[in-house]
Amino acid sequence: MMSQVPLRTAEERLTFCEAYFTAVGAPVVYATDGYREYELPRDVDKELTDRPYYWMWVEQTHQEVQPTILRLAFTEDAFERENQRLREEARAEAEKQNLNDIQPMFFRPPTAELVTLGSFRLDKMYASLDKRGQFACVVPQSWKETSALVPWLMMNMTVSYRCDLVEQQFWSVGVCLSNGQIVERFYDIIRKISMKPENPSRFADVKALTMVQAFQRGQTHVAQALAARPHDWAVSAQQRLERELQQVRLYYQSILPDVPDNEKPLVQAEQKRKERELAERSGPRIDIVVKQLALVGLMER
Amino acid sequence: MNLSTTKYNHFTPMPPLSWHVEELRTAFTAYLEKAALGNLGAADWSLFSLAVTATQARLAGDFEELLVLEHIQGFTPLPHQIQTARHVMQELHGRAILADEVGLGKTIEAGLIMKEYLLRGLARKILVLTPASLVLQWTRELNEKFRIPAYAQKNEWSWTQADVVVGSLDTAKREPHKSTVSSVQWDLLVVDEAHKLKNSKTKNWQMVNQIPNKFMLLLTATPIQNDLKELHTLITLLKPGHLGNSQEFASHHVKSARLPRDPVQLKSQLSNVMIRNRRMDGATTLPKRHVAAVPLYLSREERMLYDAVQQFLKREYNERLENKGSVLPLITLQREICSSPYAAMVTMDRMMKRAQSETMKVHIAHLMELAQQITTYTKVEKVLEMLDDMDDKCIVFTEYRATQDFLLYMLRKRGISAVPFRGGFKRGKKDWMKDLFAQKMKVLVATESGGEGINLQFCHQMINFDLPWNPMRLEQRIGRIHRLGQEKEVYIHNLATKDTIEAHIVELLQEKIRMFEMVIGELDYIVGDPTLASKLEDNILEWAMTSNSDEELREKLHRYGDALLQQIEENT
Repeated sequence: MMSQVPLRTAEERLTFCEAYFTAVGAPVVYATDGYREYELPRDVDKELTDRPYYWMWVEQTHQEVQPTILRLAFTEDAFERENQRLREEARAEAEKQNLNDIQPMFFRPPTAELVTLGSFRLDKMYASLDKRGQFACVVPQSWKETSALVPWLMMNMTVSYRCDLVEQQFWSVGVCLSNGQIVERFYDIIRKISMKPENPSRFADVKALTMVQAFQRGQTHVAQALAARPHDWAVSAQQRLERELQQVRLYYQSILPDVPDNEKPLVQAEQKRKERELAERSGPRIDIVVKQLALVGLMER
Repeated sequence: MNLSTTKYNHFTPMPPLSWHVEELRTAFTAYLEKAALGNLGAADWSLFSLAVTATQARLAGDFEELLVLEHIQGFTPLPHQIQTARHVMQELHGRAILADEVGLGKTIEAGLIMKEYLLRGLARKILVLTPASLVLQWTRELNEKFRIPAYAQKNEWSWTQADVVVGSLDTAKREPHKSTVSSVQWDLLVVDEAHKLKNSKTKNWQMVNQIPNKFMLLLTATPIQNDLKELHTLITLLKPGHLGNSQEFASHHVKSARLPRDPVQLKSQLSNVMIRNRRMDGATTLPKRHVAAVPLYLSREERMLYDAVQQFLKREYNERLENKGSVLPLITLQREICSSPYAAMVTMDRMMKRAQSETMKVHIAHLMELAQQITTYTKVEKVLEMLDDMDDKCIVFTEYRATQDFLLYMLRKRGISAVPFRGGFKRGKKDWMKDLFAQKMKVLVATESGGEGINLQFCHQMINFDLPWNPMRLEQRIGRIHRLGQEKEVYIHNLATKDTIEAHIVELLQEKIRMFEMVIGELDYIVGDPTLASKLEDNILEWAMTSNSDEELREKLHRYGDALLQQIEENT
């Protein structure tokens, strides 16, 4: 479904961060090659830095605090270079202030952080987007009030094929609210169109399907599409599970006669627990998590 | 494997579907109602698009790809470690014994598997049980190497508060911890030093058996120490019934305690639950190890003391055998006298205090007098001389505190910078001494190998001031510098005082068993066997005391070496 996994290069990550901080209203205060400094508004600060007690203190004591500056390096080079600069600048600043003998020992220049896959800050940004990017209600920038709009419900989801292994896919399904038509890979089709937010009451009069019906159609379609796919992986997982369950049962059957009567219920409970854990680990299933929903108005072709 | 695009087959039924949508649907309705009132965020669409990217970036793709490899920073796992992680997840379905030889990185393998399961969302609650001394080190390594937010268990509540908890098995098996740990549905359970679970009658084993888990990793370098049945006990934790119950296992697989009935068949069955990487299979290649004996001749005074001690020992030995007395102090004295008069003084002093007969007191007093007459210490002089010729850092190992103190004193007197290292040091002090040695000092004088995790790969020279009479301890010493990460050739010098037992021991370990030339771990089977190692100490004393000539003693040690070699051959 996807050609290439995103955010695998430093360049992509920089572009991603730029777009994120623009969208949440955090201005760039310093920029060089492969490096950015952003000033965080308080709401963003709370989401990206992990310090709930600090904020509790700030808010309960009505403190005026300086906004946090995030110093993000995207390449090793930029990381080294900017850390050096930060050290030198901080030292020059400190010398101007005539430190006494002890202060230099506590002198800590600010440092940059390297944004890599799996880094704390990037994970926090993902979590922030999981909250902020759930919904949208949009129409194309180019739309004029005079032309007719066709409303679509977009459902974006992750499909997880699970046994003791897992493989995931991103599915985007569009359900047309005026005629019930279903379009797969809907997000890929509309992603290139530049969009603007629009009041949902605009679409009120063109809807043939209720939202509830649209959801049902979307879900039915996904279930049917999945049913039409091959699931050999699930068959072999199920066979493996049954083999292992059989082994566990045989094992407990064989030891049970030697267990004293008063301990038998315990051993039987242990067997049930192990069977249950086995099924939870290896039992094949498909998990569908709907991550995003949007109402999208498209112009009639 | 590619789960979703395997061979097309219309008749395969679809596994159960589960939808997670209701909550979001309700929230969406609320969002639209607010939007209808004109409450729309200007950036909603960019955030929406960015969230798509974030979701796609986190997808668990084709299982052939290990996501973890893109998510670690600052170190590169070795090929056999990646291979192992992949094999455990894909072929062994996440339940396995990781039985690599010492020093091949079982922790790294476990870390890779943990992180992969976390990234794929297959595990959230993870429990790592280790010996108490390794809890902090595991926690640090998981955090630093893998960026896994692991917490060291502190109190009863830690088990439930954090998702990834590292704690000690000894704590976990005690109340109130026991009930808490057993009530959490753990996704992944990792047990380090799993040979402590070799007996299903122990509290250790029963505790681990009752911890709920889906995936389980058991780490041990010595999956079998004495008996093949121990293997069965471990496997019962992982996959009950995989090799039958214990009677079936015994009748199908066991010929004698340490010999399988059909090694090939057992091996193939084991490959479903165990992975063992060995150096000799080319898991890694280490730089060359040079070993040399450094011959020494005792001074006249030292010789007089040594001979007098031997006489004393023989007399005492026969007497104690007759009276069924303990020979343990004698073993100690025999070993100490090979190290230094200083070390021997400690035991002589103790014997003096406990002496019940006047003759005994007179004998010991005489020995102590002889010891006090010594003015030059041949071994210490030799070490100082060797250090003068070395422009490199060096570890000096001795078995005895008294020798260690004396060496440190003599080194300082000579102006050579040195730090001590002892088993009794707390973790922090150990690290501090190690750092001092790495950055400022020339010599580390150690009485023990420092346990797991004290890695001194930056050092390439080792002097064994005295040798342990226990191959396992020797292996641990060598392992401190000759291990993964060592980039240069290492030099090991064994002091061997001529015409003393020590020379024979050096000959046995160095030339006969060629212990130093064996790749580390080849001896796992032998050194992992505690009965064999402790027997050696007893045997050496017995042989030394009962031999009528030096030649006879040498002969006995050689015969022992032959037997040991044969055993190694049978088992590898």
